[in-house]
Amino acid sequence: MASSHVTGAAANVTRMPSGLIKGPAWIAPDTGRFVGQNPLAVGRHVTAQTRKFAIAATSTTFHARYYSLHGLVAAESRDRGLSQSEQIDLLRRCEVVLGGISIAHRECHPGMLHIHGINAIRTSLDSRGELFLPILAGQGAGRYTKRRWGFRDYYAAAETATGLVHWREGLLVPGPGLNAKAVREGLCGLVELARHERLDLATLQAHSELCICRMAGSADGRALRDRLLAEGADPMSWEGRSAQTIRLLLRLLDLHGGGTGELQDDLGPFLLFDPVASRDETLASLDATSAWKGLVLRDISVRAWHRLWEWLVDQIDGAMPVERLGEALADALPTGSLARYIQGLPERLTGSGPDGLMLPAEELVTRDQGRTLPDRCLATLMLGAKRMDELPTRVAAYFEDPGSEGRSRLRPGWVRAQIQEWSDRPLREFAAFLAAQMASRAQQIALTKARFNESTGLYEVPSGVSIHDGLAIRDSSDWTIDVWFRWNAIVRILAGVGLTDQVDGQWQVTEEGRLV
Amino acid sequence: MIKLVESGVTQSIVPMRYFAAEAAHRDGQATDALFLTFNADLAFLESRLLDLCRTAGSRVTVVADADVWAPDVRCVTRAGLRYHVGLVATGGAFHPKISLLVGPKRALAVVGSGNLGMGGWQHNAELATVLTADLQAAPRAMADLRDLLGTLANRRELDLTSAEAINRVVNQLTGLLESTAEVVDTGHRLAASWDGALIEQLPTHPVDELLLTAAFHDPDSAAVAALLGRLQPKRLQVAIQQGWTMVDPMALERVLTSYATATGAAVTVVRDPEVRRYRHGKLIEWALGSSRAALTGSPNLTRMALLRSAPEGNFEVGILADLTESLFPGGTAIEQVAAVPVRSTIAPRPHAGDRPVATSAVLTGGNLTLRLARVTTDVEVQFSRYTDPDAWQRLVSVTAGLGEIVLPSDLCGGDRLRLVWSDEDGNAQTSAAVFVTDPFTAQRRPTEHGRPSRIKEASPSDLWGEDLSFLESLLDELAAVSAELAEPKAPPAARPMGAPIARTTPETKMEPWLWLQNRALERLGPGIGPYLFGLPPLPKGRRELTPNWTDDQGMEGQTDTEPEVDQEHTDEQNEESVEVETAEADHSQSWPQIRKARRRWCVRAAEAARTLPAQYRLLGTGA
Repeated sequence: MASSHVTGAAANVTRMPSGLIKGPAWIAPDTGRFVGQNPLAVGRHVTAQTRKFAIAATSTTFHARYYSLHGLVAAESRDRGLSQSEQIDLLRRCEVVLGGISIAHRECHPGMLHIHGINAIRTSLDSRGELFLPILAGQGAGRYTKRRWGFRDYYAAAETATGLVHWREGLLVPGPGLNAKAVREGLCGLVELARHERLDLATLQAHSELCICRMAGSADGRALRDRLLAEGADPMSWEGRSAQTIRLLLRLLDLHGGGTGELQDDLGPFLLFDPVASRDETLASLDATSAWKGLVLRDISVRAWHRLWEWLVDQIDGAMPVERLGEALADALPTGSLARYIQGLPERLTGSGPDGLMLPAEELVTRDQGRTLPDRCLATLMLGAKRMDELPTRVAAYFEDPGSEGRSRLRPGWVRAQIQEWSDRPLREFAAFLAAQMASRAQQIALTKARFNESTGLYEVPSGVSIHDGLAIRDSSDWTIDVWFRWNAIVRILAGVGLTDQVDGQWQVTEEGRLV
Repeated sequence: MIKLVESGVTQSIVPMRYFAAEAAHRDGQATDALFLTFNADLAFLESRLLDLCRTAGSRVTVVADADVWAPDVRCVTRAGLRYHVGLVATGGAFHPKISLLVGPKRALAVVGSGNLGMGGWQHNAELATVLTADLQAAPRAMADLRDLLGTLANRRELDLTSAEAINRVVNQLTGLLESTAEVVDTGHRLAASWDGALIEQLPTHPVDELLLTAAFHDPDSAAVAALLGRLQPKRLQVAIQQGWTMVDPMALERVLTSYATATGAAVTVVRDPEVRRYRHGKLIEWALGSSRAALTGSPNLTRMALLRSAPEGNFEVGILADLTESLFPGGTAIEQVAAVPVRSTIAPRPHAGDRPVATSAVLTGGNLTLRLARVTTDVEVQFSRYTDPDAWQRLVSVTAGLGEIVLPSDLCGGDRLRLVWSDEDGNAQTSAAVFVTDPFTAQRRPTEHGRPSRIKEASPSDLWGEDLSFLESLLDELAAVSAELAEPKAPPAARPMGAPIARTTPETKMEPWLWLQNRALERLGPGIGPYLFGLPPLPKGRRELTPNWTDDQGMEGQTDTEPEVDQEHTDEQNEESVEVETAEADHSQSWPQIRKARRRWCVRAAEAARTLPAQYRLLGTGA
């Protein structure tokens, strides 16, 4: 019937062979989404620079002594000519033994409880009263970690960057920064213990000098401290940048009287706006201070973009015309021109010229509960853009980097250009423009991040907001993660070498730390 | 064309697979890729399709609607340089959705409801029909497609470059249909609204059942009323997607109630079970006895789409086909239709259809041909250079009434143009930007370029894009270097006393190594040469396609790389999240065939390197 309906064709019509035509049919369901993060990707510059200055530690490096352990394994493997599988076995056994000793000794270091592989190792100790190394360090059931290379991956970036351990032809090898003699001395006995099949609790307790908390006073601790502080290093070299960052952190922590929680939240504004920090000669003498000021200041803008985008996404209930996004933002902002809005922002500087100090204008608008959240964010972004012409050259160079950022959108320089363009026009129109720019950028970033799924033949794109057919469609909440400066990670590693200490949850600088 | 045995309506379609399959032939037989669309997301085209099409050997042309044209210029880096965009300004909408890739041996067409963009190709619930033809067989529907394109190419609404592209497609399809061993009537028929109102393609006798779904209805449900009058169904179901379908529920209810009252037909409005995915597909399906058929394609349930022919109505393309099973999404019956939350907040753009627009800008010789529409007031034409999407400057003023201007210009492909004018209230208004097309690069097939010049024109992004012919060109160039070295050299002729020595060595005091390197750079061009040697970019005559104003600066080769967070609570449960230092380069965005081809290329390049002079063996050290 249908063919006569559709085509009026005669009875001898050749029926459809497979392949010539497919359909009509619905196109394949778009099931391939993955959790999207930071859809605006505005934090890349800060992240990239952070990783140039804060290389001594990462979010997964918890204990300085693992740096030594991995160095020891690399040196031992080289000297003994171990194969890859033998090296892996040695590494895993050493990590299990170090973990076992540290667990056995844990009452002495309540602030260092996060020992790698603690679940399996502690279970073994509690249930058997001993470590059974063939199982724990093996690759089968009961292993302390399913990662083949143990926890080396957690430390790889920092150990490589600091020159302690390198990766060559599938093996860990000592790097130029490794003091093998000091590592062997500091971890003396570890390799021998790792050769055992079983280690009972008493044996582990008898080797408490190998515990993660005992590094500061040992030879390997001193060697790592020397390596991290890199006396005499060129400030522009990686060692120099890292060492200066460590010195800056120690000084900031000391001037601030310690720190809790995310250190960058307290120490960052302190570095930027507090007269004590601004006039401190030690900080002024560090090349890294200007760089970090630029990065901290930029991070304030990055967070403002994050919060503004989150707010915009919250306005989307399923689907919304793209234009409505701009209207929603405009409705949350005051009336008047952009120029008038900017005139109403707090002062940014006290005095002028090189002696002028930055005033915490961003903090003032952020705390101003008379403003809506979008208003606070927009005000912060405007302040950042207006500061561009007021920053010392070296601070400005880290506030925005034309080299890596080019002339992409949502940079402070881009915002500054838009201020000039939109100055006399209504803030409402600027808000609509801004919302559209954010949405477009998010789309561009999502397309860039999309990855191909061979099994479905579809591109997997980050979940969150997608814009097509004139609609902004939200399928999940976007997940923005603010840039992490690694300051906590560095301070944590510095504790291992005796330069910082955590007392009642507060990080403080030790006497030794004050001397560096 | 690779035969994909995927017949049957229960199987879903992945349009991208067909384009990838054609590119995977690696014979470069395709001559033209043509995308007819309402919305055009050029960022999607450039990142997902363009290189596939060019690898297949084709030029690329996009024809889109001028009124909804609103490109985000920062997401567009190759328009006018690697492909042409022409816009259609018409009384209705330019609304067909056809994607074509044609050549003398094979042709492929996707006819459906999806626009050129991630929404139309993947995100939305769209209906599509894929037509494939080769020298063994072709569906008769391909001839329909050829015919409707033939009439479209003659429409005055199209710019010359787009019309030429469509004519090339028509000629190619004609050739293929004449060459193929068998033209098979599969029962599918294509029809275009510029050849007559689409409703005329539907049966004129009563049917047992009528099933309707579309993203857009008329405000007064006139199209639904017309369909009921024509098909007179005994049963009717209309699916509405809550929160998405653009419909006036009260008007729809009025039309349906009136029909049910008059005929006694069973009429039901159902709630589409799809709640997350935007159902953008358009379906008019009917059944009589045990047979079932449907009109799918671009037309919505609107007067402009179904009841009128272009240009009074929209430009639409529908495909009629027999069905073995229903495509209707079904759903639960809605008791109170008027109470269903639907989408009525998107009003038509207030000024759509009466604003001045630029529909194409093409370089010919030293001239720029700018095609305009609806210039009912004096406008200023502004341009922005490719290198700076934000810096607009005046180009020329145009008086009301002009439809096309030709002027000498130093603009280049990829530059942008827009119109600026004052509205009745004296407020400045701007049109969306159009991209200047340089036919030399945008409308020549990749294989038409001489291979040496092709690599000389290439940029690093070309080299690592999915158009693998750039890699091939590089290898060819290196092979040519090896061949020249292997050629026997004639002994130097006797040189008269005092005659200048042929310059085979540097005249200057340049280090020999630098001289050799410069020669290599000359050979490889200013884009690829410095990149592969790890040197700063050189100034170049033609356009650099790695601009610094896009939003993905610094993201090349990265996936979802994100800032770290303090994993204070990291444990064995989420160990896998830690990045290992030995991670390989990321090719996850590429099709498997592309990845395999790149690997094969690397092996061949390594082999070729053995016969190269030293300066060429260092290629890649900087990449």
